[in-house]
Amino acid sequence: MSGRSGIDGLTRRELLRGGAAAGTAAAGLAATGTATAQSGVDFDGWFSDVSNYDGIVDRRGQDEVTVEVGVQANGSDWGFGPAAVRVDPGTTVVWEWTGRGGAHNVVAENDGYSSGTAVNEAGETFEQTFEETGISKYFCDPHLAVGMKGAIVIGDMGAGAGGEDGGGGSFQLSQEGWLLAGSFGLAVASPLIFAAFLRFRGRDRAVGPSDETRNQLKRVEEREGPPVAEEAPVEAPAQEIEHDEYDPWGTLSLVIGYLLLVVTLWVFMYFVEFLGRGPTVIG
Amino acid sequence: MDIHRFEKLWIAIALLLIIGFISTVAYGSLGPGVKMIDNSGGTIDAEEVQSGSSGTGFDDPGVTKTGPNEYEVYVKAQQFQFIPGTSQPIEVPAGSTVTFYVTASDVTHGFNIAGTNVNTMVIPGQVAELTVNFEEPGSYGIVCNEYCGGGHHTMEGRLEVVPQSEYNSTEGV
Repeated sequence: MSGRSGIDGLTRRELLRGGAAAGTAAAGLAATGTATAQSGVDFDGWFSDVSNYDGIVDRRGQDEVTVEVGVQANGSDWGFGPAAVRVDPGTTVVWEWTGRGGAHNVVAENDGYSSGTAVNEAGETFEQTFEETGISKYFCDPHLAVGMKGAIVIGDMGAGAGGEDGGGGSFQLSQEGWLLAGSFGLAVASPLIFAAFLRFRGRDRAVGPSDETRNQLKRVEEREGPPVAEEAPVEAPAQEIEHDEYDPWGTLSLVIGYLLLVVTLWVFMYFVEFLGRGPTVIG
Repeated sequence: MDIHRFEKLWIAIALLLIIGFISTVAYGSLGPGVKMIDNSGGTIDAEEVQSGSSGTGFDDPGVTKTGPNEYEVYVKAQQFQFIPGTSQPIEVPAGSTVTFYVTASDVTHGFNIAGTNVNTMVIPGQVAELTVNFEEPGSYGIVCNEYCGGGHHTMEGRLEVVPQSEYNSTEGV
């Protein structure tokens, strides 16, 4: 999380994500912070829509690491298992297709490798050796939009610093959390504050019905009844307007006008838009 | 009942209009030969299509030549791609008659050659059969127009109609 420097660094996305964690906004944000602090690697939002990302799985010390293609994730078998793996430099990563979730492929975000056309045969493999330290992000082309993404972390980057980072980070994050929790608390308290304000403002005023209401009530009590409104007198019309004579020519010209419009639209729709647009189904 | 002569006139005009609409559709089917896509493609087991064991052209989808200037194209639609079409374009020569057989292996998709009337629903378990004449070379987009899941908006493909002289049947997927 790059927003360590303070509240200014808290991005809108992070705020929303924190807020989405139900009423316990502070707890939600703190949890996000902890996960990031543990992994210590900034994926720059790469895993924000990946349901099976659960931190980086440490596979250092192995020459060959297997990642399954097509594991339960993102609403179907649309995930890499595990989504993020940490390996030593020089490790060969072997992607192995499970045969589930349709046709998949492995395409590097920046590093140029690709397994080619998406296939769905179980047992299909693709391998790539990673020599240089860094992060290599990859995805499945047909299922990128639903979050079938993964990453290989090569080397120890961010792994050792987890402890120190966690301490500093959690302090900063709790501050951000306080900001959210404070806003939430303020929002809950605002009706109470407003009620107190109304109460305070109304202290000096007379309590009870207005003078007008008092007079009305007094009249009703004295059997005078409420004031009666007088109706306006009925007047003779100043000018009477006769019905027009039925004029079929007006109606006819309207009918002709609409007919021309409909015929024009019909010709354009069928002969220009429908038949005039290149190849058509003929069998 | 007394009907004004003008009213008689526009009742007649309205009837003529209806006759006009019907004769237009009749012309479309008799003249340019526009057809509706029916169930002539038959049914198929979607799971066998998925696993590639249906014993039909869907096991190895692509373009095959069936006669002079006649081609068959088997297209498998699945979340979220057309095979072929998405990873590599479907390639057919200009001036050919192409019959598409399209089916889905998972959920309902659409198959629409964008900007044309070539458009069908693609239902798992059913084969959509449609024949199209491609007169002129050109490049068309293929879109899925039935919502098929989270990646629906990315589901697209390409159809290349190349000049006869440039067409290499072995390249045709």
